Amino acid sequence: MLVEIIQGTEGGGLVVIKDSAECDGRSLLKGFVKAAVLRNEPVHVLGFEVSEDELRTGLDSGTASRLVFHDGYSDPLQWLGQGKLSVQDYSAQNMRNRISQSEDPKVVTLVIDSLSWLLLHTPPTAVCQSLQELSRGGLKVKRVVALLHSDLHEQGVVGSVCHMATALVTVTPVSGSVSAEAEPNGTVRTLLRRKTGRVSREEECYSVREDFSVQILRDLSTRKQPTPDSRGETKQDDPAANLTFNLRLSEGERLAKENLSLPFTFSEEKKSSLLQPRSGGGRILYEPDASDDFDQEDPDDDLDI
Amino acid sequence: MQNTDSIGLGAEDAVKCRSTMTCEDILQKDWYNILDANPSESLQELKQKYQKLALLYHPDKQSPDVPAEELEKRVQRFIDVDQAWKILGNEETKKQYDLQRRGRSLPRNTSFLEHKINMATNAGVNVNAGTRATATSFQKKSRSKLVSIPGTRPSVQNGQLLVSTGVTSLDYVIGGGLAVGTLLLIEEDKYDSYSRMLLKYFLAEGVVCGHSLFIASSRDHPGDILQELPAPLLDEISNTEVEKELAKAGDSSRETQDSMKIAWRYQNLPKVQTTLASSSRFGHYYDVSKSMSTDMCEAATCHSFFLPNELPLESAAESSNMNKGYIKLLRSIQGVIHKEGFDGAGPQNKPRSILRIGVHSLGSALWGDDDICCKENPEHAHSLTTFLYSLRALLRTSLSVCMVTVPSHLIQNKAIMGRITKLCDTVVSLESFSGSERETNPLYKDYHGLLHVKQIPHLNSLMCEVPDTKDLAFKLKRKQFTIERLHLPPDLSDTVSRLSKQDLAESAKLLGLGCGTTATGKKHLDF
Repeated sequence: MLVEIIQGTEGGGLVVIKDSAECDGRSLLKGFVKAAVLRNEPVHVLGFEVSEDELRTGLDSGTASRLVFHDGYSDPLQWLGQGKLSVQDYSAQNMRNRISQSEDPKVVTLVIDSLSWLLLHTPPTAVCQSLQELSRGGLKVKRVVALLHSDLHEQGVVGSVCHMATALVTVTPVSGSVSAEAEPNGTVRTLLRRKTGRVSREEECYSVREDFSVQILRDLSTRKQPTPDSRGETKQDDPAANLTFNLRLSEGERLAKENLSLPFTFSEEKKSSLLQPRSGGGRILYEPDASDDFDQEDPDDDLDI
Repeated sequence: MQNTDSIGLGAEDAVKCRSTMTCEDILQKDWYNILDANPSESLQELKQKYQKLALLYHPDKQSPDVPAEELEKRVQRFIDVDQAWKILGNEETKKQYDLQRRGRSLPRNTSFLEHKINMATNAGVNVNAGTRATATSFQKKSRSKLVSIPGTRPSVQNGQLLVSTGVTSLDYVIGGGLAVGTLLLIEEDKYDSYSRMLLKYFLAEGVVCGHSLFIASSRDHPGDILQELPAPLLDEISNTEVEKELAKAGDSSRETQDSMKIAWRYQNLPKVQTTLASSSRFGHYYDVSKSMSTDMCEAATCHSFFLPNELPLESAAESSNMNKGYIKLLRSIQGVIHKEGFDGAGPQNKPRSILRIGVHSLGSALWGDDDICCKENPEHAHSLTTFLYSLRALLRTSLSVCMVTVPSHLIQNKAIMGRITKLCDTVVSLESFSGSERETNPLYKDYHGLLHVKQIPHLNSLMCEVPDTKDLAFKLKRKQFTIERLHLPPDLSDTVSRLSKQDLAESAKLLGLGCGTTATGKKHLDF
């Protein structure tokens, strides 16, 4: 599923890549950029965390023209006054204006590197609302791909932002040994929310090559457990086999057994009359025994004082 | 009439079929038909008819040369006659049966009882109806106007005016329906798939019944939500489908009656009913795969509130009690209620309707409430609670009903969730299996999730109608959203309820490590 999201066939308006200190997601982000550029779509990057040069390393010159970098890294607080992007400038409207300045007729993929920087400087609701506004699509922005460092924020903030995403890609380090030709970068768990309301989840092992194309090495998603079936098969083991005594019935014995009437089976008539609803609760029918002394006058008569 | 059994089986009286008969049983048979009587007959006449029939069909009174099948049929008839007398002979059960029987036969949308809607008091929308139900068409002359609102009916339990939530099994779970003037809170499931579905059912029911709609959302445009409403199923199809299911269930139980060889005393007991259904169907059924036709959507009066349109995005932080988004929403709802006359302000001769308010994902970050979902100790925690309090006050003084969905899994502080629960009337929480380990659990394979009823209101009464089971599970089929009793089969595996020593040791070790730093190694805590 990761490949489809990267290619843009699935994933909808907002893709959030969630990484942590153990496993970096920036290479995957660059994979997204590369794939978008290969599809001839213009990409606008809001860079806050890494410089332009660093982002452009590895991407060949052919892609450079399609990649528009809005520099929020070199002068974040706008001390030099050179008109660079600052965090305070960030809002849906301003971003749209910046994008439309580039005069590109096609719709644009907006890449945000990274959301964590924004969340540290602006209230989470403003970020969520602007993301919603941008990813709702329409005019200029086809899709928003954002990087989020999950260990920099409170659980609530991460939860709220991820709740907004139509596709959530969580990057985790590889556990266990992998003997494949390529060294995996990590495992990725993707969660895709479709328009119908269905949610699909998958877990894959991925690696990002030199030219930032993403390759899926292995599909790790656990399918439905096969255990019920296997358990069912073992149950059918015949317990009457392999015994020192005989538990099986011959034909004649079986017929005789079926013809035997059990002690408390009644005839049909008696059964149906018993099944009738009785009124008056349980009745106690007392039949005094021969030795019962049913003397009403003096119940303690037989006491020997 | 006592059945003196000559065979002497006194102890068998303990099998009282009557006490195990469920509501569904009582109402599926036409008891008047069985006794060959009609509802207007007096108790004496009914008794005479019963005695005559009982003498005719009693198993002991049959002549010996009657064939076996005929005998069986007569015995069955006798049982039916006896059960009929049990119900119709007791004044209370007869009254109940009459009420529900009439409810079934009348068309769904009109209410046949006289209402009096109390507008002046804030105690709620109180409808004095239930106790005055009579079998005649005689109506008492009183000062109040006869009001019957389409799509509503009075509750058989406390007389409140009820509307359907759009899902008939949910109506049953919350006590027959949603009372007008109350607030239903749905705690969203993790990916918000089923709670959106419930909201759409609620709004679709409003369109079908001719109520006015008010849709408030911050994420999707209300116009889009309106277009995605499911299409209602035509009456004949839904009727026959449901009846076919009931008939199938009835047939299968009849078949097994003859097949019980050893446990035959339990033959006549009804099988465990997993589906929840009440006798008189109130709501409609919808087909999820189709969306409602556009002319039907347009015919409905719909007011919408889309937050990004109402508020400029770059608004400063809020200093008052409620955040701006909520204030605007509240004012908008109040405006609509007053303008359209739902609070009784308009002229009396206008045809009355109910306003259905649906609010999607209240409390999420998109509503501008940055505290509740993001922080554990929010400063503006009271924003949402103040909003709910004011909303409920608005609802109580008008002919409206509201359904709100809240992403409770995002709310960090559970105390706030508790306050929110107390401020709403009915609270239902959805827990879907998708994405959790329960998805592959074979016990849950038929269902899509669990439904928890967190709160049911007592409106103008001391008691409320609680569903008899707390284990409810739901599944979304194409034509129906069903909620059923989670009926787990007995666990017959070998390892059940027998913790091995190994497991005990493991759990004790974990406990030890959590408690202090001194616990190391495999300590086996032995008590």
